[in-house]
Amino acid sequence: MLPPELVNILLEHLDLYSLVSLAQTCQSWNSAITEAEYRYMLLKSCPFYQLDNSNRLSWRDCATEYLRRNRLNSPKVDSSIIQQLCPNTTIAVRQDELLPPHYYSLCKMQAATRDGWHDDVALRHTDSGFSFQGAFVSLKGSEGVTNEDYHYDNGTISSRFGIKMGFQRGQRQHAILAIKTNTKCIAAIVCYEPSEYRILVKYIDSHGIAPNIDFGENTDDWLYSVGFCPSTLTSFDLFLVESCIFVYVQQQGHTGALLALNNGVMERVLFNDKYMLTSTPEMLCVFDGKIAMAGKHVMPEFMRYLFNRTPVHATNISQDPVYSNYVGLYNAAGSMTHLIDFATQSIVDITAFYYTSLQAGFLALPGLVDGQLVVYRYSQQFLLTHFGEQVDVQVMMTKINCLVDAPESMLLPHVPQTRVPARSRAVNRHKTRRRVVV
Amino acid sequence: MVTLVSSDGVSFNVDQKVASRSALIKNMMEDIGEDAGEIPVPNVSSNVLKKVIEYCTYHKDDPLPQSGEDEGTSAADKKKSTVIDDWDYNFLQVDQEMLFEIILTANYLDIKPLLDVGCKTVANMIKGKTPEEIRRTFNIANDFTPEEEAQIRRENEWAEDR
Repeated sequence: MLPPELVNILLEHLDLYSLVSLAQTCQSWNSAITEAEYRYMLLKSCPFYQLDNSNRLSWRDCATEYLRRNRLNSPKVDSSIIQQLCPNTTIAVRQDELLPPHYYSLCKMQAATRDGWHDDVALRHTDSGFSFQGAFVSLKGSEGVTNEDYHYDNGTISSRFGIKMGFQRGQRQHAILAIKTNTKCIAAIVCYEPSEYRILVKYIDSHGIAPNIDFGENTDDWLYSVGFCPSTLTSFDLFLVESCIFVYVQQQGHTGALLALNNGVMERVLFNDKYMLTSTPEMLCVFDGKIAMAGKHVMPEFMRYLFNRTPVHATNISQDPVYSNYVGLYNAAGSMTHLIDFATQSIVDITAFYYTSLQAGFLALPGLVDGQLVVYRYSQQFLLTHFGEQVDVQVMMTKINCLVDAPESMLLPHVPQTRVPARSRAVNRHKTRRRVVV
Repeated sequence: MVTLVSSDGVSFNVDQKVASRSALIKNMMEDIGEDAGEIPVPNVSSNVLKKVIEYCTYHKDDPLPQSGEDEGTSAADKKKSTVIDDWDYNFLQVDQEMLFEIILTANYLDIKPLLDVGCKTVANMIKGKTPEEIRRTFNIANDFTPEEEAQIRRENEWAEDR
């Protein structure tokens, strides 16, 4: 056995998982690892973890609970439970047809991954086609293949990925739009460029000293950031519930957006006014590491059921402003996995459909045509004929087949959440541009 | 040149520069002066001392670690701290007993970089392993009572693949 001073040096080099494992090997290691070590290691993984706010009695309990949650949060889809929830869901399928002009995509959200720091996904759904290796293949009309993600028009950014937002170009450059503090952290909404708005969150250190926030070019200084459009922002609030930080944003007339840092994992929930959230912390619920919400009209029971019973990993949730009875759940790769229909209180498992389509060498896009749910599927032959000259369809299909062989890689399960200190999770600001919410 | 004598009486002639990688010997040489002559290194056997001298020889031109240097908190520092140099990695590919002897000697002779890299190597042997795997790796006997064992199993439910 090592002398105590060496044990301390050794423990410094471990991570939380190993620390907990080591403590479970024998009595002497169990007693060698003290509460201070659990605390140190847990706060390294999750800097805002509060013993007071959790109902655990010791840091050791908190550490095991944290690991358990992280594990629960890792993506996993069990379609049998989905089937129990929605036994009679049928979807119309159209084969090898270009999308009609009135096609309304339900795959609109761009890949806003957990906290937005890995977005190198080779292939993803978009509103009217798919993107692959930086090229965009439009399946709507005859637009074909382009490399442009955004185009600017009269102060409006439109994106082929389904993003539209208004702004006055150049007027809000590098402006702090709003700032909120509480006893634990500071959050600010900062606009860098017309296309880049961010919420920055910083933690106040244990001595209660406010951090020095640099809103400038030094991107290393961000803790968390997210792109979205606050140009019609009307209110902004920040609060802590259990070990989660919630940033509540209300926009003019419409959307209440809730951005939550749940144990270091950025999650986001969007609602329109129909399913408005109240901004009082009492109304928020945290279920076992996942965020659910109880607002006025969110059908809390249904949501609770959903979040408790389905091992769905919904990194993002979007609600369509037009067809507001549909809510999409997205995986970490930014692809829609489930579609909730509030009208019938059912869930459509898009993932199962998507993967089976992929297996047969297909692409599939779920959307609405005249209010009816339709899934468009495209065969390799079709893609070759239409886009073969511009995109290497063969390479793309290989990629698809790789994903089918290892669908987990699509879901980015091995997020090194526990190993990367939150501070270092800075986001490349150029990458953030694509990550805007509808 | 100084002469280091191991616990089993083997003498090693080493360059002063090499010997001063050890803060302990460096201080000793400064206290005694140039004619240090023989410096006994009790507690350390010749095979371990030889290994440690090999390390010090390879690293003789490295900048000496400043006190407090390891307090760096920037992301780059943290990242660096998990990486083990190729030479050091190969150097520490030894059996566990030797590894622990090297760590103990590094601690005794106050050779901070060697101590750090040794601890990192052990940490890497622990990382990502379940308690049972760690026990097997280090030959640790499970001395928990059945009650404690049950408690751990409850705690551990997150770790099981289901």
